[in-house]
Amino acid sequence: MTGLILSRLVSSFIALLGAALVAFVALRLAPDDAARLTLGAFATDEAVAALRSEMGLDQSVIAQFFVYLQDFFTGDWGRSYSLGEPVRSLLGQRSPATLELGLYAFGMAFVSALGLALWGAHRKGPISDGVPKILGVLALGVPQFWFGLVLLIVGFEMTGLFPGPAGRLPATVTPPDGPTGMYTIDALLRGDLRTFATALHHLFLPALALGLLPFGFLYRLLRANLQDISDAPFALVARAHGQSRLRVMVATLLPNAIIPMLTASGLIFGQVLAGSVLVERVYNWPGAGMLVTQGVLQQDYAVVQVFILLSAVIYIVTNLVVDIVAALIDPRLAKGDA
Amino acid sequence: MSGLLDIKNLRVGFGAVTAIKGVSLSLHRGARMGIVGESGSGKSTLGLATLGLLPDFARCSGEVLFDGTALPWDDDVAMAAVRGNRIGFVHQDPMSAFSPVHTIGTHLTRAYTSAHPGASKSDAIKAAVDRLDEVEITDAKSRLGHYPHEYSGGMRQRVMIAAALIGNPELLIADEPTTALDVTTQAAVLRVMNDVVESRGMGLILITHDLGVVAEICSDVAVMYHGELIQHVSVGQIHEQAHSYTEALLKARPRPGMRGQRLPTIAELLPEGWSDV
Ligand SMILES: Nc1ncnc2c1ncn2[C@@H]1O[C@H](COP(=O)(O)OP(=O)(O)OP(=O)(O)O)[C@@H](O)[C@H]1O
Ligand SMILES: [Mg+2]
Repeated sequence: MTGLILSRLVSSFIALLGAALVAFVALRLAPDDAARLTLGAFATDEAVAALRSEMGLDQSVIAQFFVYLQDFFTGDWGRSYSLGEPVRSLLGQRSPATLELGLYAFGMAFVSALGLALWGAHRKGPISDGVPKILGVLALGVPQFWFGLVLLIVGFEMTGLFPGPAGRLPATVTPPDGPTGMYTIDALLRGDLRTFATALHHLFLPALALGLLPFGFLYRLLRANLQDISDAPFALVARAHGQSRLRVMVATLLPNAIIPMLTASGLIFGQVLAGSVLVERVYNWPGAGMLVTQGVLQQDYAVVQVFILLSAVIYIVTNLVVDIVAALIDPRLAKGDA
Repeated sequence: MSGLLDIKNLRVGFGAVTAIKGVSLSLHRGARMGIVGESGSGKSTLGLATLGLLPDFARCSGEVLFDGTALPWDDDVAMAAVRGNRIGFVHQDPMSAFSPVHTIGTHLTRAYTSAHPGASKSDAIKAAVDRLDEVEITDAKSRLGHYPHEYSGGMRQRVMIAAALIGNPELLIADEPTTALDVTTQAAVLRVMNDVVESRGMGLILITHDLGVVAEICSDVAVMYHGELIQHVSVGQIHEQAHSYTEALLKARPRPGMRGQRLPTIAELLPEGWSDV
């Protein structure tokens, strides 16, 4: 187990270096001079040159890369020229909104995929098996922003059941103060159930829009795995030992089938966070995704670059955690040879 | 006198294949029956059908009375109460018969609690250790925490027998419990199984390819061929009144004094036109 963790840590570190390199090179390849962008078209050449050397842009590329790495890991993420604020504090303000949305979207996707896959595998019928199957296929084919719009039309415009695309809370509600910056959690921590419910109400549609795609992935994956192993001799033997079909499904088949789902979850959670860029746009969700959309439009590379690298970090960390959890379930993985 | 197990006109089909073509067979309490027959003759299917464990797409007709009552194959919960608890089952393939992500202890204690609902965890562990001792797994207690891949094939075979016996069933259906093993281990596993069955006075259905094993352990022998039961006699009578197919099976075995000779095939030994049966 320690061997597995060590080797995963090393490969995570290498992956991280690679991601940093890509983000770094992408920025250097961008046609515009960062110093010129910051100062604007009317600055004198001397002023630009002075800023260039202040930003370290006159040093060798390799030296720049190490400075850049050092800056990233010490939390000096540069300054957004368009918003005039350090990128780090910008992301600090915006990330909790994205993370909260992503967690709800992913959580809903995971739980419904799990429940529906088990139900369909247990009771093979046109409704229990067929309907989720069609939903799963649709989920993979429907663009997220389009689905987000449809949900808005149905849930807000036509029925008025849910709030419109107005962010995380109505303007009349003060956001709860708390350590996580995620309104539902902070509200719960303060025991403020009313704000919790309001925040949840606002989360529901965007989380649904964002969760459809991962639901489709996870459902199809788990359903196929359950199908594959439902004929395994060990399932038959478990029944021969006197366990009912349902018990065998939950206690024997599920732990075997869920491992690929957990492994995929690391990747999928990363995709959910990345996919929130579009959904945040549709719902005016003030998250990191909105920040990046603006950053791209304004050629604010400092913001974009940090976002790319930060997404890579989140990807790598979730995958590390998922690998360790999978190894805890399946002892053969812990040996590091599977 | 009603038997322990009465199979009545059992037919099983898989799609276009008819695997069992109307078999009737009965087993007395304490009888130990060997079922022999070539690969694909329907031996495993007979065992699984009895337990109601055929795949969903299989067609099955006829009935099996256990202790005088028809087994309710379509009622999964009622059958779960019979399986393991009254009829134990040993699977043909020890390599794939255990869930790779559960410990041997989990397999055994689950089998125990299925047969004894409401039993405490410590009772289940104690029963698991006792059963492992019984099938001569040394150091049973610490071995409970090991995973199937940490057991050898022969040990898994024994564990499977232990798991089949943990619910204290009246009948054990053992489907080739020793095929995966070398000759020495095979003998040891069979002896262990035979001892337990005999000491508890259980009924046994032993599915095997090995007539020698049948002669040693069983009281009766049933011969299957292409889904049909072509002979059912007591072991002592097998040479005296052997069906021509059974006779061919007996002759096809290697025997002392045959060194250097080619073994005859069943087809060569069968009388002309026999396959019309
Ligand atoms: N799940 C299944 N699906 C389709 N056909 C099956 C299935 N199980 C068994 N059969 C068919 O039923 C027939 C009998 O198979 P069975 O496994 O009972 O033979 P067997 O006597 O146990 O053979 P072996 O000695 O090789 O184990 C074969 O023709 C086989 O192809
Ligand atoms: Mg078989």
